[in-house]
Amino acid sequence: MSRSLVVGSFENGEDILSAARAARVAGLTIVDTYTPYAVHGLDTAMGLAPSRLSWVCLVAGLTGAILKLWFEWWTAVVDWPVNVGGKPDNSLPAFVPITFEVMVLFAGLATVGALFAVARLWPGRRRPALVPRTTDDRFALVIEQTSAEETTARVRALFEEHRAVAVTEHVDEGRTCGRGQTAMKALNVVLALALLAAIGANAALDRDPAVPARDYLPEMAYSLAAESYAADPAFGSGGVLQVPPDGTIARGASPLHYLATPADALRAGLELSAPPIDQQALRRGATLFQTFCAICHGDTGVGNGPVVARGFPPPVSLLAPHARDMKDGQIFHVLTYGQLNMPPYASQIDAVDRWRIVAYVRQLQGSQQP
Amino acid sequence: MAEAMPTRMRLPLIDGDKSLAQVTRDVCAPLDRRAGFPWWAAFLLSFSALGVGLVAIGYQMVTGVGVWGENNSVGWAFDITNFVFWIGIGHAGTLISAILFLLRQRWRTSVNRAAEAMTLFAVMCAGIFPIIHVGRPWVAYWLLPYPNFRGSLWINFRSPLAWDAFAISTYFVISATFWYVGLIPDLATIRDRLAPGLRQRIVSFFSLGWDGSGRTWHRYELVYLLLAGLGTPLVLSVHTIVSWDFATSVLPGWHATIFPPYFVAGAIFSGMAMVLTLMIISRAVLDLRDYITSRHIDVMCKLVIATSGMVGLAYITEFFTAAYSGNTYEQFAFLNRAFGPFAWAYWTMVSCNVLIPQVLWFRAVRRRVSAVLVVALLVNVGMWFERFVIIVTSLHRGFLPASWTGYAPTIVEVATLVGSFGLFFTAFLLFCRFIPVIAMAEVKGAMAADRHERSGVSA
Repeated sequence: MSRSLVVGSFENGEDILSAARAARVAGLTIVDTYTPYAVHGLDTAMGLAPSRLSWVCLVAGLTGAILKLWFEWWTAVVDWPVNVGGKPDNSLPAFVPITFEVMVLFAGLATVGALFAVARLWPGRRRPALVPRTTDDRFALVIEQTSAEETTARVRALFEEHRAVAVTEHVDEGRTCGRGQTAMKALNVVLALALLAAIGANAALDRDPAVPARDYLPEMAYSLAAESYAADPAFGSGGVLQVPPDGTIARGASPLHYLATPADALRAGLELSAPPIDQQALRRGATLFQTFCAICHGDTGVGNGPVVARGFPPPVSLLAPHARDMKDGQIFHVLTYGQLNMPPYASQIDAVDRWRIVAYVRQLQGSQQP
Repeated sequence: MAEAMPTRMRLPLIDGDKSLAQVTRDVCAPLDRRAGFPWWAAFLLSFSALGVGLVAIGYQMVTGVGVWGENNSVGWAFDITNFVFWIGIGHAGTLISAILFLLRQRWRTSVNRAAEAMTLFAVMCAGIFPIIHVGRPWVAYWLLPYPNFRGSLWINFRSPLAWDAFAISTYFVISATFWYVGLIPDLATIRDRLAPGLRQRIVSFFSLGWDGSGRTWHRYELVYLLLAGLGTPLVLSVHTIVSWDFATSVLPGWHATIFPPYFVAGAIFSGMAMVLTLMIISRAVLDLRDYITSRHIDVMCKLVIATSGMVGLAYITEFFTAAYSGNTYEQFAFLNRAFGPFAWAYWTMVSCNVLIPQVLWFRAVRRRVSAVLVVALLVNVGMWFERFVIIVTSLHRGFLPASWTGYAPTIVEVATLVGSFGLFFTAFLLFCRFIPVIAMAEVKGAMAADRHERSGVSA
């Protein structure tokens, strides 16, 4: 659809403003204006409705804020909660700063993107100017010529009344698509299809878990993963699991300076005393007794465990006066170093648990008669 | 849009009663002529400084952060000082472009383009330091939450350092967008006056086919207003978050509720000083004295005094809080600041930031451009030391006397700082050569409004 346009050029903002106002009063159709700067009041004079871009800003900002807040909550509460300094998983106040930043980011970029879209601004776009120098110091008012020759004369008169420096006539052929633009559109379609194909292929192709992921800019040296009991390739002697040097003490352990002799057992009875034991520790002692001791000593401690039933020499009853007279520390020594047929349990039961067993044995002795 | 609240400057916005075409000619003149000796000299100097910085960063990346003077106690020192210094510089650009726009300060049109460019370059310089500070800059993207094969293991959103990563990147993106949106009409002006050729095609590409249509201007003005409205809380949030990097810790000297306003005021203070420095030099070199007049410098000097007062008040408040709290550690931290091993840095800071700017109360000093330049440079020095004082003096004597230590920068750290100045000035010089330093479309609009008001014609 082609239309005829009458274009008036002006030298300053006040002239085009008054001309536009007069044109509106005269009932003429203002197609557009072209000015080197935003002439204040010209939008009202042209009768432009308030822009709805502020809604884009609001909606995009809210979307950004909600998405980010949800994402922070989801990562910190649902997907992988990590205890950071005892703070609750859902630390809402701490999520606010990033939520704000993302809100601003979304709102700003979406508003500008919407401006480019509705104002049809894009990189490389070329639009021949109806009047030269409208980006420098000229102001152009474009009026559509609706019907008769008579209109042109009226428009010309109006323009000249408002000190127009030039009046020209143009025919607008409507929007046409040049060859370059068609090529660009085709290229865009091809690129979009290629992107979709790449995404689809990535989703559809199987990933082989046996193939290690490609590592770029490796950050760490990869150590050889040797089996614990295999021969050691580095030391040559012994296995991968080396024997600790003499006198090594495990972390948290305290050394006991006793020998596995009856004399030292008596000494331990005088020197060592049981730590305070609560109900929970006593229950733990019961469990341990059932696990380690009852196979020989029996559930009640009289010495009739399942191993004894199959022919192993029976231990002395824990309820016998000899056992009742033992000091706590002596029983601890027996558990630690063994006695007669009983092997040492130090490597299997740690010191804290051995004291709990001692406490449970004391409870057994208290609850039953020999 | 609401009718502009007229803020009258008693004198015209620009000198020389220019016509519109003259504005275009004057502003584009430095772009049209070949670069002269001063530009080349300045460019080569800046570019060499940038080279020095790149070598230092390369060396540090290959060798590791052990080449810095930092130690177990002073784990943040030169790099974070530089980071806060540069990010603060950037804030004045956004103050001028967004906050003064909302306040209808029309004089901003002469300086906002350059100030916004300064913001972008300063944020670029600032961004270097946290990235190299992480030690392995090639995995700095771990700061951002992205799906990964470690779980996905997400970043800790409760950490101010994560907030920082988001604040700085948002700030850069929005500042760049704001700057570019403001630039589009001027790019169209340049496009229309260049002869066909490579340069014309490049400018044409970025001018997005802008033709000054009334419908586009109508939307554009709203978008510009919205961006200013978004930029204002954004700029306040950025330095607030930077201050939280410190304030959320428990270290005396850092753990203070005054930090966010204190940092924001300091940022605008330092940025204004940098704007003054750049404007005073470029108005002389680019022959734009009619556009960036002594009245512009006068107004910016007043902003410097105001923010200097805020910063001074914050210094006093910190001491008062320490004294009033009755907290031994807090009191020690501030006594150590003023009288400890780094007292020289503290008193440099106080002199440059609080005492020396007081000379700007005198109109005679504000009128003397060379004097203003000296004050502005000293304020930049003082504000750099402010960050150094906050970071190093708080860290070097913490709670545990056993870990008390000192700190001195190594040559690699100094070279990196020199390199950041090189990057800043190289970018600014290129900007002066290829992009109009003054927002022509805005100045033309402000001139028209200015003339309109001065002639007393009712709208």
